[in-house]
Amino acid sequence: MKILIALLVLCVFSVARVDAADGARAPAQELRQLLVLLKLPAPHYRPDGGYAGGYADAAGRAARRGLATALARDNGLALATDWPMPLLGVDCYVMDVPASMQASDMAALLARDPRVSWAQPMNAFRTLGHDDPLFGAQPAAREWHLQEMHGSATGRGIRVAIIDSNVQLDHPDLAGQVIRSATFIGTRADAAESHGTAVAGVVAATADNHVGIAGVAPHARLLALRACHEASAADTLCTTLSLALALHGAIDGGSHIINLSLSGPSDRLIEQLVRAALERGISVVAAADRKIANGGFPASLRGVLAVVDGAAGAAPAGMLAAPGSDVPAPLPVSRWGVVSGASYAAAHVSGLLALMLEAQATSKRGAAPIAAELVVGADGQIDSCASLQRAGAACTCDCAAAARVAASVTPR
Amino acid sequence: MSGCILAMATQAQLSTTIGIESDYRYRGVSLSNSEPSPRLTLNYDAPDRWYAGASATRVVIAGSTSTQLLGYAGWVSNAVEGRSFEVGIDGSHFAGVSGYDFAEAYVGLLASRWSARAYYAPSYYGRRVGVGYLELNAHAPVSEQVRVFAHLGALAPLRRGGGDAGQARGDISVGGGYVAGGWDLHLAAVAATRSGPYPAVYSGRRAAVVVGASFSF
Repeated sequence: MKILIALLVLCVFSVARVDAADGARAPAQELRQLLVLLKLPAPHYRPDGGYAGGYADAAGRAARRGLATALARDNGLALATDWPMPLLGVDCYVMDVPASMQASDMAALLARDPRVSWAQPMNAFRTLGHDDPLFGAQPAAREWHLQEMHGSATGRGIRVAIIDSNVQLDHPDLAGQVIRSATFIGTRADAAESHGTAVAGVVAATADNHVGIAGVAPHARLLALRACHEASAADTLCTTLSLALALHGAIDGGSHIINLSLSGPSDRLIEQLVRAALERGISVVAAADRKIANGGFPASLRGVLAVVDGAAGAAPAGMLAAPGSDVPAPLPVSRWGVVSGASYAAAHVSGLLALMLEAQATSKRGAAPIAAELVVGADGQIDSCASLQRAGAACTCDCAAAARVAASVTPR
Repeated sequence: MSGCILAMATQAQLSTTIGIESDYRYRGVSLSNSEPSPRLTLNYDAPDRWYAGASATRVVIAGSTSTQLLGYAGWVSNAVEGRSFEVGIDGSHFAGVSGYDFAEAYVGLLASRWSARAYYAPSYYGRRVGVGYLELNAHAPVSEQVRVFAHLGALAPLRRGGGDAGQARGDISVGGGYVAGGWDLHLAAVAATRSGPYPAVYSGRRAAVVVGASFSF
């Protein structure tokens, strides 16, 4: 109770708003850049590979950069930067589009060049949430019987990638929880940001440290991959390139779960990287937008767990509902506050999957896709206790309900 | 020097690399008498995952300065869960000392940070002795431009006999490299065991530090 009171006081004095309002979000937009993807030949034997054999194809990369320079020059564009994406077998070149041109038109033109794998506009993505803060204790503690679940699993040994804005690594509730951090948005300021810090905290804030909250999976370890920046207190923005690089890093970094608390227009590069993650058995959780029929992108992708805020009513068909309103969470700088939105509902599901993966590994029940073990009601609400039990844990909470294992929802 | 990807076929790529090594170490032994050795390499990647290439390298073999002309061709599969395999052949011709010419076939398993290959040469350096070579390579990025790498290899005749030359030889290398703007600068410590089916028993230095630089375009 002391913690709750302290939390409420902290909220009153230090927290005003977190996240963009759903209704206030700008429509999906193109940035004045496009991405040109050139095929990256698979690594293979080379006589000059020498003792380094197998490292990235430096020779070919230099040649492809020459091609990209020529493509940019011939089309009135400016080559900004480039990144290899060996997971997809492409080198990604970012080109600035002058104001006199439409990025989508130029992408279509370049895509017809036989030397180009594909080209696309650089899209903007936004985090999902609403700024209607209310004060309260963690809903997961009540609705998901968090303390009892922690008797069975805490996410130990599970790595969750948080692809979001900048996480405050030394926040009292997050210190030591992040095993890797990286920034993929270039030269932005290094200040900690609210959305990423709150999402990270919902997933894996330290438990029993006498401050703040307990994450859903307090012993999971986080990869804090900064792909977004807070353009304003109400708007957190990411781009195709920053998200793609972060996804690449998440896959390469051995993540078990990738949390994407964001939404934007359909995007081929992001889609291919999400598929690459799913093919490797990585669970991908995305916030879904109720105002869009399919939940928006990337929540709409088959195999991705699309999550909405359960407090706003039943989830649309095929989606999951999880606690997402009035969620206490860590915020910069070393504060706590109350946040709301699908972003945090998605973070809850990422945390729950971490618990389930630990339970599955401990019980040695095999390697069934963990998402298929989720027990979901007709309204999309997740039965966390039954899900954890089904994944392999002994029943420790809400056992009567858990025994009635309802029909599970297979992710779309 | 200018950019050099040619649109010979959709998404086919041709790259050229020129480089120099302070000592051309091939499977643990010096093929350049521990002297600097320049090399020119052409590589062609077809869109259907076939590849081919050729290189010319200054060598010192049997006391004579020569040029090793090496051609290779292979096919690499699509990656499944980050791993692919390849099959290929390569052949070396030593200008003026063609008695040392030899050809090999190889198979490999490749991942993003490591590769393993097995080679078989039916007449290694023209000695009419079948020789197998196994290698493991690994690398890791330190930053976007800096990497470290390691290599382990084992060369063995597939028929016993022939004194030291009939014995197996191991080689190892560890090093680091810097890649930027088409340049690749690297430094490696290389060592090999004593015996092995190099054309004759190798009597040169068995350990060396090799520095190299190359430029690709």
